[in-house]
Amino acid sequence: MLFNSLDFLVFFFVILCIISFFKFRRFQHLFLIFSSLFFLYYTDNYLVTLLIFTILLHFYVGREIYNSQTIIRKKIFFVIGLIGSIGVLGFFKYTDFVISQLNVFGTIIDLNSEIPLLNLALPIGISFYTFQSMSYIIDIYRGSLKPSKTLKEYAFFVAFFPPLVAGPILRASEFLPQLREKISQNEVSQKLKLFVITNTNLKFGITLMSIGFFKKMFFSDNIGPIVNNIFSNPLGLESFSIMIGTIAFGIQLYCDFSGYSDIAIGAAAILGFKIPLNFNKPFFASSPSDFWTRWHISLSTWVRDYLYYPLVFKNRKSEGLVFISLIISMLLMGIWHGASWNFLIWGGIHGLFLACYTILRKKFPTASSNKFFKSKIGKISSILVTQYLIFFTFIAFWMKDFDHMAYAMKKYVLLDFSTAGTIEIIRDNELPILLMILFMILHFISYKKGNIAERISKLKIHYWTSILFIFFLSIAIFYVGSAREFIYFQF
Amino acid sequence: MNFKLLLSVFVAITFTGIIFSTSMSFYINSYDPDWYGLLSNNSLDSTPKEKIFLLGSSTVYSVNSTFVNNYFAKNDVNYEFFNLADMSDSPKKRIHSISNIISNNPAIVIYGIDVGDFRTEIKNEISLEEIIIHPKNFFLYQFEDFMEPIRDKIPGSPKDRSLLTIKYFLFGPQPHHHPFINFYETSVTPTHELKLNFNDNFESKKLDLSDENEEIKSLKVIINELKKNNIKLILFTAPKLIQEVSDSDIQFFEKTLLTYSNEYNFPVYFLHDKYVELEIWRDSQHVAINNDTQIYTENMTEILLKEIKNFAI
Repeated sequence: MLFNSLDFLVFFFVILCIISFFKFRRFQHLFLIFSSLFFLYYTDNYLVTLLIFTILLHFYVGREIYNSQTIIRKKIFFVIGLIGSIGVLGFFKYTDFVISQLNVFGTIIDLNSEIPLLNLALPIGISFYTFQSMSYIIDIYRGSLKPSKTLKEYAFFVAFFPPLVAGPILRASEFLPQLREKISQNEVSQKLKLFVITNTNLKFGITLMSIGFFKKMFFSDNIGPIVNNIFSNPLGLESFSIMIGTIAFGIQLYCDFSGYSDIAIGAAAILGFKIPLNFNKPFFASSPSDFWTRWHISLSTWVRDYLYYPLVFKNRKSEGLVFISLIISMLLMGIWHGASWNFLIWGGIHGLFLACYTILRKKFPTASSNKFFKSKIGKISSILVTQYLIFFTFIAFWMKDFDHMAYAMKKYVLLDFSTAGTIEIIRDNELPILLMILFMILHFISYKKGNIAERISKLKIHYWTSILFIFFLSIAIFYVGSAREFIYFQF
Repeated sequence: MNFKLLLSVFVAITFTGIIFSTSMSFYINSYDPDWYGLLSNNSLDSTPKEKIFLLGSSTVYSVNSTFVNNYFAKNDVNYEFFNLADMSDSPKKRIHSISNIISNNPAIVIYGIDVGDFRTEIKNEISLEEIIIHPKNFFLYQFEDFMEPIRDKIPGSPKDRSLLTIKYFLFGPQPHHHPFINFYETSVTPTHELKLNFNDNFESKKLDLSDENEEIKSLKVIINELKKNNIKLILFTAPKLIQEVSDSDIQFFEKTLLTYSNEYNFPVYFLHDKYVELEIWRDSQHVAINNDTQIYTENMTEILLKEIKNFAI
């Protein structure tokens, strides 16, 4: 069920109505669990069983890890949990990739047979709910989290529909206390509503959802065509054309994914749950590591906490170890996005940038307090250099064809200063270019003004309605004609 | 839930809906071939010619108006040709703008219709198995009657319609003789590829040429309106590489059109399968636009010249 489809709006509206009017509050969480399963079933049909399997496996494994009296038993259950989650994810997401690589290898060594591909359907949201479940058992194993007392509670955490399909990746340590608070409220007094839809939450949630729809349907869907025009066949294009393509894709990807996150966070907020931000003005990042505190925050912090920290835990002072750990972490981040070499390259380049930056910072610890870097020009220069590097990586994110990728990267780095073709591209894509400029202005305003959604939601009702009207009208009159899938659905 | 907040959202949605539906139909209903825009310095044609309007969906938009007009100019034919093809047009949609078409006083209207538009959904009871496997289809089935009129009001691409409207007010229709769909060169795709990739659910729709079909009703109203206003009508079946109906249905369609042709006295041409052997297709529904695919435009010019002569007699 796409968020940007009428189906979802009807589904969400019905859920809100039932929650508001349903008298048996004790069953609200059960109702939401079944609604969430239906949400996935509606899109993914029988593959919803994978989600149910993941829930059951991790719930029982988590409990066993917590109750284990011996280290060995604890480890055995921990490994079972990890194998279960990585196994399911790996089988559905990476089997065909591995087979195709084996076939390539077979061709190289002249084996005259090929392993047939399985052509498995990728279950929607599997990367997200698997990582969510893994963090649950890792936290229990580390002793930083108590397992869920009931299956209902755990199922609610994993299956909760707003972030189910494309994140943000929830942490049990952040989400379960909110759920427990509601459940304990219910135990204290039947009069208290389990899921209270408050005015503040409703107003904030609707605002954030509207902003999300606006980002996706106004910006992302309308900027998409210029990206396809440039990136589908970049051979022969000028450097500036490639740069326009990378900037357009960066904006498209950001609006698409952060738009989805906004809708998810908004929907959760209406139901009374606080989900942490997934994006925080990433195009104002002033270093590669700053970028990863602003872009897909839930995944970057997951990789940091569950992979990078354990890797460097033993020897943080070893530059080599830090370097390798960062590369490994970012390669995992890359392959998480999809079973394809281009994502590995994308992750590898980010790893390289991060590693170089971290080592440079260690070598020159006082550089950041240098007058230049503290000045306005210094800050702007840092942002521009960082963004130049970040946008470079988007080439690898989009292009699966190596010749195209190599050509585009070469043109991006070694500028040819030709403009004739670029002018033609701009002339043929007036609307996407105008939207890119408008996006940059709005992004700058939101960077300067802080949390725009919160500000809008605090406006008086008639101003608030007017702003919603502007969002809705812009979406409607610039609607491209059919609900376009979110880019991150494929991951 | 706070009903004041929900009411506000409802108000915002309602206003959006009103402005959206008005603006989407505004352009096509206010279209004037003599309008050159607020910002344009183009002067109006000093020697007014009789107008020929080509109506139809994107299946007729590849008829090159520049070619036709140049041909007319070279051969002293005192007519100006406008390709008013509109995205996803069908008689049911065109009927809403027919009064504006008439108000622009065309001498001739040539209308390309597509047999596929006269198909209606077959409404079978949805099975339990279908509900279990495709729950989405169940909901679509339940709300189809409610959704259909809304869907009819939304053009194929609202964005394109919005941009065309803005450009129309500023610079007049652009391109001037192709006001509703941008006319630009497109490349040819090999027909064997198109046939291989063609995907249409034939079984979900059936040809319905009864008077109960809204498309037939609308077509008859359009024919009557044009006749009432002394506008000559030429009807033709728009070319397609692959038809969505069976051969026997096509024969029945041809027969029905010939009946209308006799009843209402207008010429009818059958082009639906004329180019199926040629490599001129952009996709299975549309002839590509480039110098190698002019045959469609050339044939259209021949038809027009022939009928201009016939009408003169």
